[in-house]
Amino acid sequence: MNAALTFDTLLALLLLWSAWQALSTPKLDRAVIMFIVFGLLLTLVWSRLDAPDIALAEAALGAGLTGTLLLDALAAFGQTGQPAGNTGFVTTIKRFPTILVLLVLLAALLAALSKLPLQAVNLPAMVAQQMPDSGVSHPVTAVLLNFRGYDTLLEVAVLMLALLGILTVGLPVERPLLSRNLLVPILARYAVPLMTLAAIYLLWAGSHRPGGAFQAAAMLAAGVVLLNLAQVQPRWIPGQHWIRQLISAGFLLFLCIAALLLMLNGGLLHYPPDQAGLLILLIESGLTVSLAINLAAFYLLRSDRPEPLPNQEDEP
Amino acid sequence: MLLDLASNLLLLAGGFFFCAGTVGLLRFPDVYTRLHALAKADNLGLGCLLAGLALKADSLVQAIKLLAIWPLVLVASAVVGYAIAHRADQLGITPWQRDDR
Repeated sequence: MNAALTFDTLLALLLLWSAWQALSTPKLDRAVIMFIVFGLLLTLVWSRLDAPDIALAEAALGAGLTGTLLLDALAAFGQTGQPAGNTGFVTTIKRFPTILVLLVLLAALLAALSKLPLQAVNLPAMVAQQMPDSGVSHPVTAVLLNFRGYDTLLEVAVLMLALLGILTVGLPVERPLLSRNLLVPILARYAVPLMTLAAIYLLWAGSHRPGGAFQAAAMLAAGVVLLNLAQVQPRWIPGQHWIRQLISAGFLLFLCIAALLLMLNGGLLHYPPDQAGLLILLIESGLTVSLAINLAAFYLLRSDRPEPLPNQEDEP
Repeated sequence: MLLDLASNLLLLAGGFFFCAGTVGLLRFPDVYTRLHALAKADNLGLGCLLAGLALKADSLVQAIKLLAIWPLVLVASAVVGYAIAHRADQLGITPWQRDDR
């Protein structure tokens, strides 16, 4: 067995182990930490699979921002929710019907999967053939913004819906603040310009190498969250209109270009090959700003509910 | 040839420091000593690894990119270490002392 295979096997086992740990541990804080570890291992897996685009997105969004959100939720709500552990025989009996249904579903899915022809369409070849008309030279960006631009449009809409959900539910205003110390704000002030520069580079690089709007937006959002954690940037309030306007601007720009092309060319997001590069850069720039604020808003927006949600412990 | 030897030695040294840091993290008695083990050993370990990889790099640009990672991690790890220790101190966690005093 050579070294690469040993490493990959170890990585796969560690990935499964961390996933199991995150799901099975009765302690919420441990579960969150294991989830972050899982995200970092997944990043390694993606880079071993030669998919740097997904690795970048996973590191920034999956492990980074989601981890921060989970830690924040943990700090806000504490360990009040007692998760049901394996409490014995009765629970196992109660879960039996669910397990049975899931097993039947798994069998059906496996049966269906085994009948699928392997590679009915040679997608990589098709993408390579269409690359000259896509306006960019990086296949992942070509697929995301040109060939399957429709999917990306809807993904952006999903993120906006997620923010709407957060605003509807509302979160406690009070959050245990980081201890005041001098170094973290200094780090934030020096790091954020660097992160902004890196985000602009990622956006620009997207046209010819791994990078793009989502990665750039995650980098910018991380910068804003860092500023907030360092108590340089105060929290946002849902009433601030510029936040809503900027978040919807990128999506609307995308939608307007799609509608315009629909009227001119008779196809949703059918770019004319000559202007494709410019249009993609325009859409990606708009998306970067909007997505960055959208992602940061997951963290920085707090409902203007006058008092925090009642804790179970506080009630008499 | 000499370059390869130096690179391999640096990589091995990096691996050693990472191992030492991990052992310290697992074995040391309290948060301050663990931070000490983690920050010192990992920073030095990463520096050795990056220097070793930079010697193996195909181009000068690649080597510079690799070496540029080091100061970023050094600064981040120093600040994070300070923040954790500061918070632990605020929470009133007293540093570990040998029992036989």
